[in-house]
Amino acid sequence: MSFETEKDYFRLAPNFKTSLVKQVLPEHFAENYPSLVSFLEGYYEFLDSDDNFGGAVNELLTIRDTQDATLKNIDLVFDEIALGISAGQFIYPREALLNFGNFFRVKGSLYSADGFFRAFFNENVEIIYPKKRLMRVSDTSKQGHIGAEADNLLQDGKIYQIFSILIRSPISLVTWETMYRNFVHPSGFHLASETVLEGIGNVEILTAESFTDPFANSTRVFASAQVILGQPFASTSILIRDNEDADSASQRMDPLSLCSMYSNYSMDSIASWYSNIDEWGGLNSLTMDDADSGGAAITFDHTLKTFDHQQFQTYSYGSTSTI
Amino acid sequence: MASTIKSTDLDFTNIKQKLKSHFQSKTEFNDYDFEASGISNILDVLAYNTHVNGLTANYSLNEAFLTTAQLRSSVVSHAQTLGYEVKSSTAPKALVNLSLNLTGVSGRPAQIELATGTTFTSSIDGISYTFRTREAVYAQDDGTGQYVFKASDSTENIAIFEGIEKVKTFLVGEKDERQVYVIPDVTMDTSTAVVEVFETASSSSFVTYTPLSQAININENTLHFSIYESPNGFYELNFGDGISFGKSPEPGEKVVVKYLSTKANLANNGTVFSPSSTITINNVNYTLSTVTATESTGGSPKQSIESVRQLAPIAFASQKRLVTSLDYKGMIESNFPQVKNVAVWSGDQNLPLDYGAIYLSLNFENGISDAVKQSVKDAIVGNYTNNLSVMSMTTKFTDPIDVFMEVNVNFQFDPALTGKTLGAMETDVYQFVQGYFRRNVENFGAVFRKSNLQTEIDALDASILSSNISVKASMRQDITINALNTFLLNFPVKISTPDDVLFRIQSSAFEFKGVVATIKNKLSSTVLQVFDLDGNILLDNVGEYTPSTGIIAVNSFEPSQIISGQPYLIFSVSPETESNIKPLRNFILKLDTARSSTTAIVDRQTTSLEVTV
Repeated sequence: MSFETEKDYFRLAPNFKTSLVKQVLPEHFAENYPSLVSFLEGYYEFLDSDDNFGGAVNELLTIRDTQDATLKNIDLVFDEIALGISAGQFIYPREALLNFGNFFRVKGSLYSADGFFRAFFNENVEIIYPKKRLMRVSDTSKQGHIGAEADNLLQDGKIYQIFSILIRSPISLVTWETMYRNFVHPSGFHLASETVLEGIGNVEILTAESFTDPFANSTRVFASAQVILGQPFASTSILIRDNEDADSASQRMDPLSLCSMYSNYSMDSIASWYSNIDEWGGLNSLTMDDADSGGAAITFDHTLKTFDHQQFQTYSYGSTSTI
Repeated sequence: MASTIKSTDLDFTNIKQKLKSHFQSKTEFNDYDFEASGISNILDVLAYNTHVNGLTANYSLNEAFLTTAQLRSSVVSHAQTLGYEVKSSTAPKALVNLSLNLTGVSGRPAQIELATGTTFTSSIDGISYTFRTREAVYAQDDGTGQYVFKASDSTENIAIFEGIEKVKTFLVGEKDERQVYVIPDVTMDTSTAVVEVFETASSSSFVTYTPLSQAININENTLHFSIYESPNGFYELNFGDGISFGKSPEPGEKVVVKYLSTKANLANNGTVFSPSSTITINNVNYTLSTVTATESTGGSPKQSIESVRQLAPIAFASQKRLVTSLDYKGMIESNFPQVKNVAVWSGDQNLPLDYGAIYLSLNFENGISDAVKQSVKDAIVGNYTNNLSVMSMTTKFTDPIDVFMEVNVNFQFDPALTGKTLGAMETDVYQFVQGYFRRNVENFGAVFRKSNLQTEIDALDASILSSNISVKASMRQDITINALNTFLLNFPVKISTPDDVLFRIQSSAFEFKGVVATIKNKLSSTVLQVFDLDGNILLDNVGEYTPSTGIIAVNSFEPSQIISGQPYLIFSVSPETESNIKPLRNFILKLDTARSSTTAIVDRQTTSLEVTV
């Protein structure tokens, strides 16, 4: 027997379905063949069990009812109207299902991108149009200005160009890219992502003592306080530009690294970076020294050099992965 | 193929056993002998009843969803609910240039009309098909007696469609009854339907209704119709209710539907069209001159259930807009039967980067001419992407790139477990591999998974005890002989790093400085060299390959002949991993039938061959 009332949210007419074996059989059966009546009642009880015919028939009544259908059946509706995404993707799948029609109608818009991250990942993200930071020559507005205050950028053929959308979110690109491209992304635009890592600092305030100021009625004054900010992450790293090595990829480095981390390097490994001690520790090393005979430093001669020449952007250059 | 829901036990034996257990758990029946004949028979009947009821319930559950429905009527109905228009049969269309030479004929008219429905015949695979015009076309005397017919778009390409024109007439019934007009023809091309409504059964004046899908404004007086597939596979004509979807024909009016009943894809690829009749001018018959501009294409049977199942959700998601790459894919595959499938990617995923562009690569059905391919591309841009895509986005086409897979299967074979010979089994496996590629691999986005193929080969016959597959990938590069050739080949796979024993790259044979030679990589190196067939180096550096990117770069290579006689050389590489090869964008994996093989090795491990002395 299925328990209808357990899923009755006063949305459906009450179901009083029950097996009427005794009423259907002639009266004398109840007197003369009570075991047969019990047997048949037992059979209908078996038939109406949740994983049997009765259960399946009861399920039919609400099989496409967004609020009452099982999540397994809701998944099949997702297949039909939500490009096969699973109900498990959503915290509130039934609510999400009701909104897919509207969602598809506004795809490609800011509204849809916002909605995508809220519905699919329960996150609010920042959607940025990089074109708003492009420097425009002869533009009399702020976008025509040069300088740090203007904070404008030159077109880079990637993020910073007209057809580009930058999404700053706390979720990694690999988690959402495929779905985002299927559900929202206007094809032809560059899709850029910045992952925001936010730590929760531990703030602890200690008061050595407090006392009531007798001259100010009941005002409480802290005599001393100490604030401790916790380390937000066990490990933090940042990405910096490609160092133009063979992999053509950005480099990851520790922004909090100290000189002490080089303390265990052997002379052999240092020798692979510097050609002589002067280059390593000399006053003129790496400082645009025209007189550097080693040829490793940046000089003012006519040879083309870049500013990262002989600078090692990673704290463990050559020995850790680059991305 | 769709998966199905199984909500109840559908095995008779299990049902009976569960029923028995159910009763045994009840105090009243726990001492009953359920194996006794009487009660066992009763249980049989009840289990059978449960079984039938369970099946019915399962059918109902499955038919409730697009994904699991098995009946065409259910799939079509679900798709229609999503607003998807399930495609009827489509009549093949050809373009012909028609002209008439009346030079020297006195009293010739200034203009000649070729009426709607002028027919032509074309023989395809020995069967004659009838094509006809769907509009009147006209030709003007150029002053010398030459008449060239032009279509309504002023071009000389006259469209003719395969099919028989049929007419179905209905009389409109009482207003309080819902009027459904069923057209009892499963071969109807609904896109050719012309609906005329006459005031009375005998009236000659009529108004023409247009498809609802073409409506711009709808009010109570607009004249629109829609045609949907009905549950029995016929088609039903629907009108508005006088309020929501335009005017409804009034009781007593006569509805006439004219349409083409088509042989669909059977009439594709017709190249020669002959007019069925002559044109009479001043009581003299003249034959139209017919030149084929494009062969007949685009004919397709009713959309299959699986196609509806796949495309209806995409169409719902696209909402008749072209925003995401998936929208483009759904639009093209739904509307262009000449296209087997399509790959779509954004310009930001293209190499080189190309922002503001959407790239399409169309995998056409076999036998489609270049002219038709171009007309399909023009139609995609003109009818769809120009109007429905995000403004300023450009649609760009790029051809598919074939990457050939050289699949060599060795399998252990026990002849005692089959009636087939070793050779017959090798042929069976070879044909199976061909079929496997057709079914699973030779499409955009399809991934070759070696283990899947191997599993299916192992299950092909009991006599196949085990198997082993080696895989290579190859691409073809057109070569100009007696000239310096410099080119890049981009394989969609990483190539194995150099080995000191095995060559990772090998080309097909060519003549170089009078010697038959091939290009191979230098052992333990990525440098490419030209070798003669004895392994002597003829040129010590003709390029290199990059394992991590799959790029082969050949520089200043000058062969004097290609031994195969083909205009291209085949470059064969060992993939870094053979287990799965997943091409991106416009790469399509195909089986290289000439370089693939199946070899059986007799293995009598499970049976013994006894020899009695």
